[in-house]
Amino acid sequence: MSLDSQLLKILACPQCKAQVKLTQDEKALKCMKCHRVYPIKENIPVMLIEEATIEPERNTKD
Amino acid sequence: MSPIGSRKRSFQITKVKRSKDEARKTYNRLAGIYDVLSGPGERRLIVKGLRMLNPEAGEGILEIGFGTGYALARLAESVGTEGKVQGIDISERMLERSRKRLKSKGMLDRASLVRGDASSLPYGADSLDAVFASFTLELFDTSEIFTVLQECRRVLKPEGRIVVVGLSKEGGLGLVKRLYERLHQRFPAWLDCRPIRVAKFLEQAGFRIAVQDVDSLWGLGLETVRAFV
Repeated sequence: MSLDSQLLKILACPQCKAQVKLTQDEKALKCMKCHRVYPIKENIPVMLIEEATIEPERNTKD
Repeated sequence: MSPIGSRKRSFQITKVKRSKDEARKTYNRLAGIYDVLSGPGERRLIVKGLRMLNPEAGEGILEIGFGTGYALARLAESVGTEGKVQGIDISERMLERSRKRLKSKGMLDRASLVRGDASSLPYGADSLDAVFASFTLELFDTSEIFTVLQECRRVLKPEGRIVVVGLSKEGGLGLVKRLYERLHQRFPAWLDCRPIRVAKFLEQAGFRIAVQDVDSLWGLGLETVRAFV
């Protein structure tokens, strides 16, 4: 089951408020500005700054 | 203590000393019994708050601190198949409870849940029609309440509205409130909410107050406030 498209449209990075995109493997959301990666656990995005990792190299979809 | 001193103290809002992680753990522990503990009194006020919010079909509505999902499910019913309810909560066990409730009511498709912190909302600006919060704002430390409300303003559309239901310094019985606040300071892990000034905080964050209702629950004051961006 993938994330709801409406949710993806409005989700933003809690730190810098920039757009987030699904990572290539669809297991996380990546901020396009600060490169924080937020995990998706059991189809629930965990949008906590302290649980994010910074991964400039991680690829996103489209 | 002089009468003036005690009066002054009754206007102060007590500090919240626990960390976010401690709050998360507390609500993880409470998830299974929260509905029994909170009882019909709290439900009645949530329903009142939802009526004040007046959610409409097709709207995008965010609930912060949705807990076991009682309001979330009702909001999902109101927005219909064209609308969407967003929910944010810090506790993973509460998320599980809410997801089960939504599923049992056939409302899972109308709600999107995220785990997060309302003081740094993970939504874009001007993205929602309304925000609802019941018995949530008073869990944040005083300095953070302002941040949470500013975040709510940021994510609301220019004509957006907010309804907040919360324990309040307004209304209730002085003696009960003083006793409660002492117990809150002594046992912050168990009595974790404390009375605040809902309308005042909303005003400070730049909202325009439309309605402010004051009630009493077991001698404690409560405010239900509707405000606009």
